[in-house]
Amino acid sequence: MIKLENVQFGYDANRMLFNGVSWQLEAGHLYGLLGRNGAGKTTLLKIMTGLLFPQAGNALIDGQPALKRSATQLSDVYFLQEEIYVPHLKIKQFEAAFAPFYPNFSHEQFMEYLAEMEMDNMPGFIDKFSHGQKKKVMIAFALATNVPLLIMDEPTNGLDIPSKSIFRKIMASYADEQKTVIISTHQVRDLHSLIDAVSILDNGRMILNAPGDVITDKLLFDVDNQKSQEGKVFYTEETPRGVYQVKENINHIDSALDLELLFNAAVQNKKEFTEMFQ
Amino acid sequence: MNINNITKLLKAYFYENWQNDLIFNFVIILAIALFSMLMSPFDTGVTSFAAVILMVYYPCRLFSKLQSPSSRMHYLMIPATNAEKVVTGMLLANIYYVFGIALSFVIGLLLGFGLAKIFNPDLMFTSDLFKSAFPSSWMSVLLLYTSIAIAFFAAIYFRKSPFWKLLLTGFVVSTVLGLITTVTVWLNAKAVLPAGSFSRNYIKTESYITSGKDWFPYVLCCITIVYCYAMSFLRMRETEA
Repeated sequence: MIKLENVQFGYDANRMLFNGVSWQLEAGHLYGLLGRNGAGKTTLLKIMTGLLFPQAGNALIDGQPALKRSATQLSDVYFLQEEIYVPHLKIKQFEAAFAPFYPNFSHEQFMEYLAEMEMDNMPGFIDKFSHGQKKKVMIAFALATNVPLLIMDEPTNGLDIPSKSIFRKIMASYADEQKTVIISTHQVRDLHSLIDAVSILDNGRMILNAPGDVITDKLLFDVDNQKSQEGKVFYTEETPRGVYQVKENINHIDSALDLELLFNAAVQNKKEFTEMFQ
Repeated sequence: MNINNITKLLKAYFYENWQNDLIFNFVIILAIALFSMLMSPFDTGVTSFAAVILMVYYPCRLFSKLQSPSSRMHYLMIPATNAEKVVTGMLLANIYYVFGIALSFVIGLLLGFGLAKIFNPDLMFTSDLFKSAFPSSWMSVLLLYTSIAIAFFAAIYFRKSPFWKLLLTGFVVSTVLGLITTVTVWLNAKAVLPAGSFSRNYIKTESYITSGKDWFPYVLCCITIVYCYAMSFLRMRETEA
């Protein structure tokens, strides 16, 4: 459905941000796009949606170049920005103005999500709300569009602790086989229970792109009181609670995917991870 | 091009702007009423100029969403093609703003006339009252729409302060063209005329544009209009977030 082929891009002609990034996304997954600050996560998402044009390579949505920004393509995509822009409208006016652009928009779902986030009876103009409140309204709207591709850039930034739990709850029930959700985030602890496929961007390359079950089949996320000697260890972190390790899963033992450990292991072992998950 | 998408874009525009537009037009009505009451309801010079300036100023605000990265992203992600977004802007600039401002001027002038009549009961109503709200000739109409097309292009091209940048550009371009013309005429006149006889009398001073008797100014205006909208579309297509 979504495909990036050898995308090259740089804001500065002498310093390329991406030197041939390829990324393919399948419907029915909730992808976590991880990367360091400045790795280009938001830029990559903008290229994917046709908001930025690659200098070489292609960004395709359903086989069509994203840079065309056709109405059909755009009605299949919703991009929830980190820095939210909201027009000077009340919630109902916002819905009346922009919902008609999305053929699968559900008013009932919108009201339901707003109610869950305690924003359903909020009077006044959205642009006068706090950052967190604006974000809640826009998250509810984004989810209610029911678009096949939903992109969320740092969705939990600015949300208070109860709202983050509500967000996780809503997202858990949101995904289905027709929808692809991409969440770009630094706050992996907020979302690790939701994400079922992980993509890691580092130094202009996608060093990992795999579903969670494939990752846990190949890697073991282990916590013990001493360093393991069995299998290749990719990453170790000593904490008061024990020694956390990411190591080769030679015995195919089930373990819970820990995004933070995975990220650290991946950026320290780029070559091995790229080959392992190719 | 999908007419439904244009309708949705217009609807979204009115949801976002109807209050501002209403306030803006209300201010115009009051200003025109006061001005025409204090000066003379039939003194059309200043009010005509104000009408044209407003009709050109308003399209400059059309693409204000392209100014900041987050609003630009929001606007570009609205599910409509670039062409539909440009056409929606054209409809607003050429019909809604022009007729909205003209209507506000008519109401303002009527109000001003009514107030002036309180102080001067001998004042007689004639249709001359509305001269400043409507163009006086087809050439004026064409010039107005050419100015709107230029302002429209400026709104997309200069993202920040397009109106002032447009005025500055207009000033610089006309100054440079004026200088080139003066130097060219002066050099040619020097070559063909006896020394010391060069004067303004030797130069044809009436403008093609304002004479309205020749086809050339009409064609020039039409080409400018088409050029500005075509360039606006291309500029919109290449706009990135």
